[in-house]
Amino acid sequence: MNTESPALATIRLENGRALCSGRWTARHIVGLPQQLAGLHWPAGEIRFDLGEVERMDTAGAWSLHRLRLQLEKAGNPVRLERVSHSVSGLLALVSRNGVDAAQLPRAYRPGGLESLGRAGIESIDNALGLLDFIGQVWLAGIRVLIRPARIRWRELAHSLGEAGHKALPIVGLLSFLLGIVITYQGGVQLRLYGASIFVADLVGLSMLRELAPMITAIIVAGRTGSAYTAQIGTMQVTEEVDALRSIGIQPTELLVLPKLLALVIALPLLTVYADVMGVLGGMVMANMQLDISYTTFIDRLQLALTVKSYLVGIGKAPVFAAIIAIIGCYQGFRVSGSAESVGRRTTVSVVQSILAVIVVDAMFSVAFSYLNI
Amino acid sequence: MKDQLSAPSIIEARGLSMRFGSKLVHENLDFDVRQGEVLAIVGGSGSGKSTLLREMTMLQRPSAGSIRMFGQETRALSEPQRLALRRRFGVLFQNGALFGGQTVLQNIAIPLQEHTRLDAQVIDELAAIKLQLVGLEPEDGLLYPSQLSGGMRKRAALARAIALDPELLFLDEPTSGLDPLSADALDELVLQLKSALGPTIVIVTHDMDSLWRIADRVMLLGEARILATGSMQELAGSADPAVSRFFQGPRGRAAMAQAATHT
Repeated sequence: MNTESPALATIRLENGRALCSGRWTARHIVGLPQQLAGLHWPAGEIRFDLGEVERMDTAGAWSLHRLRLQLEKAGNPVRLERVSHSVSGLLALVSRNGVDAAQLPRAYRPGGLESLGRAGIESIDNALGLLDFIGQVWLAGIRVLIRPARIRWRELAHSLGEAGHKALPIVGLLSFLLGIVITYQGGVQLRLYGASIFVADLVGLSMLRELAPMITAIIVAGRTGSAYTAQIGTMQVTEEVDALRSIGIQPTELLVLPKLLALVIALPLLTVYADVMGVLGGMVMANMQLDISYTTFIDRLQLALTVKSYLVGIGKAPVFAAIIAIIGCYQGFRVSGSAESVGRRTTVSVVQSILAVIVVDAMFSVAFSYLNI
Repeated sequence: MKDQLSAPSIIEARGLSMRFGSKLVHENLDFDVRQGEVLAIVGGSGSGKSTLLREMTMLQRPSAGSIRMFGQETRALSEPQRLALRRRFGVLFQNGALFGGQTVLQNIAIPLQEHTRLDAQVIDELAAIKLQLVGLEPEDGLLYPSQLSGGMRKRAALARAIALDPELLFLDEPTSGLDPLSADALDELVLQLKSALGPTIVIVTHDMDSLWRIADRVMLLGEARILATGSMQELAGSADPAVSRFFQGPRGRAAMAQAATHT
């Protein structure tokens, strides 16, 4: 029965005595259930000989104790023999503290309908909380407007650098590549009609009106919105937010307003940069693939674009910025308790702000076409 | 306390030095941890107690010197050997370091799940035993770490540290941040665990009451070296000014007086 390793815990019956040997420890008792299944216990008193047990820990003692309880329940009194001092201590310990798994308290698991209801209430709660938060930020904003001396310039400058300046490389690279891709895909089709030059219209309009504001907002939501949630969330876990309140500093004023303001300033600027880089990408690609010279491209661009299409794109950026900053900060304040909660809230923040940006962009498109802009 | 001078050493540190950049934490430490004893490491803030604990638990490599644990040189070990060694000791971190996403019972079950092939049901039962052993109720096992009070968190973390019945237990400031009653109860708990499971214990603390109650031997760190090693009685009576300054402040005296009335 026990051929693999002499150290494993074993139990065998000899003349109505159960001989236990080997190591009765957590790592060595794995084979016991199989061994027990093959044993035929005689009627009457059973004596366990523990003299050969090399070592025993809580896990071993617990298996022995459970076996003993089983046998006693089946009507066989059990007597232990050659029990060392430490083993008897362990057996006493597990009999005092042991609980059958079936009797362990279970976490309450709500049923399907109840979970649905809870999820519904949670999302209503979330929406109301967001409204409440927007209100608080407004009030804080008005307070600061009345007394502009309270603007936190240092925080503002810091946030501006983090959200704006440091985002330049990635925003530039992505919109440049986007311009290349659009020109390539569009150019192939336009060339079929001999209308290659219209690629300037294509890149210029789509970049300025739609793609640059959107791609910039999505990058910033992933880069900065998540950072806002994680920062405020961590401060929430370490009670720094409570510390601010107790010192008499409004967390909205110190933590939210500078971030909001910084993003509202930075995102339009980043969008302009994305406009330039995107069109530049288109220009380079048009030159390489369609043999349109830079000057021809720029001439055509001047005909295709108006100030209006530029302003329509830029005008959306502050709205996107406000959405990203508000959702990011709000989710940060909703963090409670643990590091895990910070991670969960950060995910929620990024998903929600990207979703909101795209939905609001669609609403802008509908409104603009309705207004014939 | 009895015949520990003859007991074999579980940890032998020789010529242990640690420096961060130009900052010297400690230099050339030699000490042993003997089987079955409770060794307390004490010292002022910044004396390198926690760093020393991190070196002993193989979380940080010393700049120089060697640590032999259970007779194996820890520097020379391969990753599987380190793992095998790590299974033999448990660590109670200062702030508990319970995993926030899991309930207390799941936290205690993690070492068992990782290192044994027992049934889920048996693992739950063993975790529940450890939970009750540290004085928590089975119902508490369902709570998340963020729902626990400071004392309960330390107890739950202790339960996780002893999940595999380690031969060696490291406790980093087990009573810090606890009220005096909880701290007393935790000291009592450590003594109970010691008599029930018999591990060797290395404890970092500056709680004078704990030192008197549970330490067999005390090692005082300071000035980047070991200032003194001995029983509490010896150290408290020491004539060395560096040692007596630490043990004979108002708190040290109060703890000594209290220890005297209890014994």
